[in-house]
Amino acid sequence: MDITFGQYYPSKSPVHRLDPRVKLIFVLVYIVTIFLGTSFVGLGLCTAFLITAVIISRLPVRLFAKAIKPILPIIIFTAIINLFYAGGDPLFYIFSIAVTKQGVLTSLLVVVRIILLIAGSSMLTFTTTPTSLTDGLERLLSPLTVFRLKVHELAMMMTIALRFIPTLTEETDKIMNAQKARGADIDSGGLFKRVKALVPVFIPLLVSSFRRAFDLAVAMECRCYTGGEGRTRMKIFKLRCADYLALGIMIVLLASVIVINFVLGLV
Amino acid sequence: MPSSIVCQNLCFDYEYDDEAPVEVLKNVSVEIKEGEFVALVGKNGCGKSTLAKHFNAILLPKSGRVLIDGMDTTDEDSVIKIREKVGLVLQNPDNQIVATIVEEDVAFGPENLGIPPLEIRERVDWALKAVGMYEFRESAPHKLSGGQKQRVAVASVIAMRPKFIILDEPTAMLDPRGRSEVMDCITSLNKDYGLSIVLITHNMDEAALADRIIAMEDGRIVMDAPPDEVFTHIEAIRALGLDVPPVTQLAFDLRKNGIDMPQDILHVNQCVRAVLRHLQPVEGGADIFGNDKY
Ligand SMILES: Nc1ncnc2c1ncn2[C@@H]1O[C@H](COP(=O)(O)OP(=O)(O)OP(=O)(O)O)[C@@H](O)[C@H]1O
Ligand SMILES: [Mg+2]
Repeated sequence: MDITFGQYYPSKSPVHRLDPRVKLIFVLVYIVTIFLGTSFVGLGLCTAFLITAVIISRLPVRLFAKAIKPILPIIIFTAIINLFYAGGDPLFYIFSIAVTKQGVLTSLLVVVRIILLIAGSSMLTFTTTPTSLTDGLERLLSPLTVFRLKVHELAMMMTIALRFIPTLTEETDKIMNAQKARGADIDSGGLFKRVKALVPVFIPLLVSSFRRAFDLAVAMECRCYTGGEGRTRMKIFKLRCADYLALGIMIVLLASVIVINFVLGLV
Repeated sequence: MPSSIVCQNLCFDYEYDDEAPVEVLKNVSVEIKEGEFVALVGKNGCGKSTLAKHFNAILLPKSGRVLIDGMDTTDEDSVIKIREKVGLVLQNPDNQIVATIVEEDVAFGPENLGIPPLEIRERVDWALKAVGMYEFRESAPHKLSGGQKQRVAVASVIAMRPKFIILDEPTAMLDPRGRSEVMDCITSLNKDYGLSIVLITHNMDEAALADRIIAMEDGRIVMDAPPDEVFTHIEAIRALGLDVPPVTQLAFDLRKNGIDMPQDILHVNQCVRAVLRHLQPVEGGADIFGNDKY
C-alpha cells in the first residue's frame, strides 16, 4: 500500500524533473488560460499543448481516464444544462424544448474545458511527489510571510501529515484486527451498524495519535526546532534550462490564447 | 576543556492538577564526561527517562542544577546550544521521524540550527554513513525496518554534531536483529567517532557493553561503577529488581556449586574460556579453540 505518494506516478521524464515551483505556477497559469480561451481555436491550442505535455511526461493515458471518471456525472450534467440554456436559433426539438446551435457549441466548449482543467491539474500531482509539492509551495508562498501568513507552519503540518498517514493506516489495520480478535463485527451490517462498529477502532487510534504527537513534539524540540525563523534548507532549489524553457512556453501559450480571443476575435 | 554533563542535587516532580506532586528525582548528583559510554539501568518508573530529559533541557529541575559544559539548563538563552550538544533518541522510532524522506529527516536538525545548505549536505551524508544507512537516503521512512528506522533517528541526532547522545531504550521495540544493528551502531559511534553515550536499557547484555553502569532506584542513584564491578554484586543487583547478563548468572551459579569461576564474566567468550579451563583436553579430540592452548 502506498498512500503517501497519492497520485504520484514515478518516472524520470523531463516533466517530472521540472522544479515544483515552476510546475505550480504553470498549472495556475494554465487554468487561467483555459478560462480565458473562450474560442475553439484557443482551447484547441490548450488541448494540443496538454497532449504534447502528456507525451513528454510518458504518463499512461488510463491515469487521466481514471482522474476524469469520478466527475463524469458533473460533466454530463453541465453539458445538458448548457445545451438548453444558450438561446439562439433552434436546430431541433426534444420534448418541445429547443436545442440551438449555440447551445451545442457552448456545451461542447464547457465539456472540453472541464476535461482540460482536470487533466491539466492531474498532470501536476502525477509528476510531482507530495514532498516536493509541499516544498515548492512553501518556497513560492514564503514572500507572503510579510503578511503574517504562517507559510512555514502550514508546510510543516502538511509534511507531518504526509509522514504519518502510512503509520496511522498501519495502526488502524492493527487495531481493527485486534478488535476483530475480540469478536468485534466490523465488516457486516447496514451503514449505521458499520459506522457504530468503527467507534472501538477510532477511539484507540485517537488516543495513540495523541501519544505520538507528544513524542514527536519532544523529538522536534530535541532537534532544536523553534519554528520557521532562522531555518535554512538543505535542498537548494535552482532553476535549470528546462525550467526557463517551461516558463517561456507558458508565456507563449497564454499570450497566443489572449491574442486569438481578444485581438483576432476568432471563434 | 572536555565537555561534561553535571547534575548537582537534582530534584524533580511531575505536577498533577488534583493530587499532591510525586517526587520522581531525589537529590541526584552525577557527572558524565566526554567520551564515556554510560548505561543507565533501573526498574520501570524509577525515573530514568525523567533524568534523561533533564540532560537537554526538555525538563527543568525543581531544585538543584544541571550544567552542560557549564551552561545551566534553566538559562533560556543557552537551550538551543545545549540541545545541539546533547541529542536525545526516544524509544519509538516511528514517533521521532519528521520528514517523508530519510535524508530530509536527517537534515531537519541542522536546518533548524540555520547551517548553510552545502554544510548540511555534508553532515547528512556523514551521519547516514556513520550509522550505515547511506544507501537508504532517498527511501520513505515507513518502508524501513524497525532497526533501520532507529538508526535513522540516531543519524538525525548526530547530524547536529552533538558531544553526547542520550538513548532512551532505543532497542525496546525491536526484534533481535534490529537490536544488534542498533547496538553495533551505538558502540561504533562511541569507539570510532568518540561520541559520549548514555544508554538507558533494561537489557543487561547491552548494559555490559558500557564503560560505566549507573543504577537507579526510586529516583536515586544507588550504584555507579564499571560493569565488571557492578555485576559481581549479583544479589544487590537482584534486590534492585534487575537481572545480570545470562553468562554472569551462569558463572555465579557454577561458583555457588563449588566450581572455580572468575567474578567478572560479562561476555560469552569470557565464559567459554573459563569453562574450558576446567575441561581436560582429550587425547586426539577436537580442538575447539583451534590453535589456542588451554
Ligand atoms: N509526563 C508525566 N507526567 C506525570 N508523571 C509522569 C510523567 N512521566 C513519568 N511520570 C511518572 O514519573 C515516574 C518516573 O517515570 P520515568 O518515565 O522517568 O521512569 P523510567 O525509569 O523511564 O521507567 P521505564 O523503564 O518504564 O521507562 C513514574 O512514576 C511515572 O509514573
Ligand atoms: Mg523510560
